Amino acid sequence: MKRHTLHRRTLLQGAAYGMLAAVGLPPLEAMLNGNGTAHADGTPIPVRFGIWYWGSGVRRERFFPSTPGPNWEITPELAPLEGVRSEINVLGGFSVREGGIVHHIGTAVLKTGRGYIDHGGFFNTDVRAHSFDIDVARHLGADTAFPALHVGVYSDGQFNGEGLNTRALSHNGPGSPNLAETSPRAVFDRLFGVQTDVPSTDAAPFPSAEHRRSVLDIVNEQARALRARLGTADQARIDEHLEAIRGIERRLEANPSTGNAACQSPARPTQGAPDLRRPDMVLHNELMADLTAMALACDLTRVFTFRHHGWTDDPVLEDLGANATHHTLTHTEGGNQPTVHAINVFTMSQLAKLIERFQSVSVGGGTLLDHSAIMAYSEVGEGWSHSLDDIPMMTIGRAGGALRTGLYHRSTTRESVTKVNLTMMRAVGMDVEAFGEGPHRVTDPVGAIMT
Amino acid sequence: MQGRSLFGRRRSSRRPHWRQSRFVGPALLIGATLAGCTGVIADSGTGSGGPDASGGGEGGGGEELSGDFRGSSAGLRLLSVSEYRATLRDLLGVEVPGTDTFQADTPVQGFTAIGATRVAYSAPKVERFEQVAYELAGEVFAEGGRRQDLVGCEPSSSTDPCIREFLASFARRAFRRPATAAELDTYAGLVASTADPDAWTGLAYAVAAILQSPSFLYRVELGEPDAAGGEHLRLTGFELATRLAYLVTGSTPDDELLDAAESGALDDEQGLSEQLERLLASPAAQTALMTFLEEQLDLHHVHKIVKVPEAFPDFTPALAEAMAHEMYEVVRDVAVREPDDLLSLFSRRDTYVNGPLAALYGVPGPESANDWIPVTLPEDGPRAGLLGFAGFLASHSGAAETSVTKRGFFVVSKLLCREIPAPPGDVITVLPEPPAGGHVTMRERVEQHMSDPSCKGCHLAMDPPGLALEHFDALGVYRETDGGLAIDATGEIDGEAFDGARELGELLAAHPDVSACFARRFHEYALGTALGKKTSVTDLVGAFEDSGRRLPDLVRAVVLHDSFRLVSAPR
Repeated sequence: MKRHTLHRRTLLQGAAYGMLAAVGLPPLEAMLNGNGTAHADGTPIPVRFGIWYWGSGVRRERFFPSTPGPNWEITPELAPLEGVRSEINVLGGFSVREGGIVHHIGTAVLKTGRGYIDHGGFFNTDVRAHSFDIDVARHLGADTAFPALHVGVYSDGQFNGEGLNTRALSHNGPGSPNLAETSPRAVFDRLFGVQTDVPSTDAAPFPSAEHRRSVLDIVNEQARALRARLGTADQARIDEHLEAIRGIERRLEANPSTGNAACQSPARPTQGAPDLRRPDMVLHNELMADLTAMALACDLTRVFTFRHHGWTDDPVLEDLGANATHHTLTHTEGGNQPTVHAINVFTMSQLAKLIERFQSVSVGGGTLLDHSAIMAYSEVGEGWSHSLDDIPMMTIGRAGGALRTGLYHRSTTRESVTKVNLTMMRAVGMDVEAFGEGPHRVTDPVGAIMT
Repeated sequence: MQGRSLFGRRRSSRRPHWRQSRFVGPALLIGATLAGCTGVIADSGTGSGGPDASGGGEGGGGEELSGDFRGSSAGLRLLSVSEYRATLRDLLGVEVPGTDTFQADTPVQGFTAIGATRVAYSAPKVERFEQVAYELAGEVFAEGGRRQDLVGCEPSSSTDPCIREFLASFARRAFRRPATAAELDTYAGLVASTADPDAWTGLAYAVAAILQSPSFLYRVELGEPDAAGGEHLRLTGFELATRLAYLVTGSTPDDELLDAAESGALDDEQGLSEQLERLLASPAAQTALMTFLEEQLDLHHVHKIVKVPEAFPDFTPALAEAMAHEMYEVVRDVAVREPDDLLSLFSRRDTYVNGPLAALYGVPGPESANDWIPVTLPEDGPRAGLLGFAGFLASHSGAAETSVTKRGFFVVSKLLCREIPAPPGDVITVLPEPPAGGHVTMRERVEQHMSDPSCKGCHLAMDPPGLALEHFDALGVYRETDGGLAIDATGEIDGEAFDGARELGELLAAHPDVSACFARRFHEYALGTALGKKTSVTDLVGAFEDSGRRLPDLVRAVVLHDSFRLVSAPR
């Protein structure tokens, strides 16, 4: 009787789908050089990049300070960020310099530096090109286990019926949104691996890394053969598929990265995506901030996008007295919109939580924030007017020294929001001459916040 | 990783740049619009109404469709999550694990089937496909699993001929076409090289490899030149079988269908019709065809209804479930169970209630939430049809208030297939506050839509059907008044007047645009593409009307139409 190696329900022992399982826990400690700016072996501490986004804008008069410079006053909607003001810059006066379907045009320009393509039908827009975080990931993350991490707190994704441009904060290109994962346990499983008990057996694991690679070789060849028979649009879809396979292969190679002393695999969250009706926004923001911080600390990735809520998919925050979604309220609440304002304050408090979480991660002689460049924004200036001016934007972190912090900077000439994108790209060390197209094309960053 | 671009990009300028003249302004719940909105694209040259002028198709930004071509382009289609699960159930007899195992599908223009021809599999999804392939293969080939049933023999070694026979038959089912000799060589070689400690392990790897193949994960619809000399490509027999199976059963073609494809039986209408009838009679057909209506009629919105507790303390998850159950059961009855005129969905008074729902409707009913009984709503009552379902009304409202725009937009856009452009970007979109201390009806609050010149063009088309439903609050409960004020539920569509939900339902049940809209949208769903607004489908609409407007007959008309097996050159 042959000995059978495959046991039911123990399929993933040693299968090591997650990166940490592949390299073994805990990861190597990073040894630092004398002034904490690099590892002991001279490799520099990598800079991380992120985007934090929320939908439907702010109340302009209660968000933007009036005094540019380092002594900006804490406004009602920035109040939650007071404790971390030294880590951020607030940016005012920047505009989306093209009209179009509002919300759609803002999000397209802030993601890709250009307008959308409209395929007709019900608000059926898509981006025209990949979003700029893809370029950043290419620059920063060629060697990390994952090129980027895309997470979110609240999304009901499917039900709005509008185009792909509205679904995601990041796109590989037209027809390829990088959806924000809102299930904390799914994020954990993808990053840190499916944890199963490893039984005491000397049986070979199924599947083994070696055989997984053999199978992927076969799949690659088949995909390439199929690709040759396709039109360009489908070739692009196969290219995405091949790219995803390359990611799996990269992780199978199991080269441990130096990681960071603060890296530790978090406990696996039990939570799936938040309940659509009664989402626990605070808990889910915290869980995602934790997972993101650890993914960066462990150098599993150096790029993340964090979609707090959209404008077509956003919750009814009953705890704040809302009787409609944030977006609805921006269009129905009268007066100076006190509930909208309360939601804006709440949203900023959630951003503050992420900033604090990053602050708690020691990297080098400082914190993860010192080595991060995060861009925070919404796709409209104000919800009720859909203003394309005064888009609320912030930068967070010092980017390893490339970014100043603690400032309120205001553009007085309605400069394009894309200057901020360009600033982030330069801050993480990209040698990029320009960003954006047409009215959004810029060649200079926001000098006031760069060192 | 030198020489590799992280995301090898095709040129993004491959689509023509269309003027974005039509859609300017915010995507709003309550908004304002261009002047001159006549219910169809303004410069289409056609008036409102008329089956061909309507459509859920492309606007000025339309792209790959060439002229009037009625079909998608040759290429790949993704498997939806439910298609993937059903396929693996049929191939291996095992269930794909987990609830958040996969990222959700990405519908485009209201249908997952259109998204399937345009959207890429995401990286997390590709990763999960690999993992699930091993999870399922491991389960099937484990000791005590159903491996012998599946393989059909007990291989004596890793080169036992029965292995290659199994691989050929399994790959044929998985790829939905015969595997090539080269493919079989590859998989047989894989079995031999991974057969440690035995052939079962090797077979598990081979099955997992097959389930990761692009020939499995994508439905290939490349077609072949038309032997009759037509300018477009014709799907091969296997490709047609695949399209038929997924459309009608939501899963992969079975052996009998593959055999029919192989023998050429699907090349003529009779052979195709025989297989179609066989599939339509299968239990899976009812579920699969419901997907069309679920997406077209926004039925799935019932799963995300949010109500403010102070305003609606009776709104519990149990009530939400009851609302969903009622809607799905009635639609299922009319569409697939005892197929009837689809348009009767808007006027019928036969429905089902349990305790809570009966109370909500104010009709006699069971005590318990667990008991469901059929009822007929009163003939002179306010409610009839889909527009009277609590599930529809509650899901097309706000959390505390009704939404004239959501309800009106549904009628105009989803039932009449009329396009409503986006509002302009520079209007103030907050409705005026009611006078201090005074309550006004929702009609009065949205009056501004209909008097402001930049709003009224489109809101005159869109708001009246929504206002007709104002006798139902945000939960779908009937109310005589709106905060003590009389409700005016009158309106008109194309000059035909109605007063209230029941009359509106009766109007829609007899409106030619509604049947044309169903026909056109199912056609798009089946083809996996939006149709150009100049693309005529009058033949299909006529066939649908003549057959009594039953969904299975619409399926027959679409499947047997030549367009079902044509594709244009790859884009």
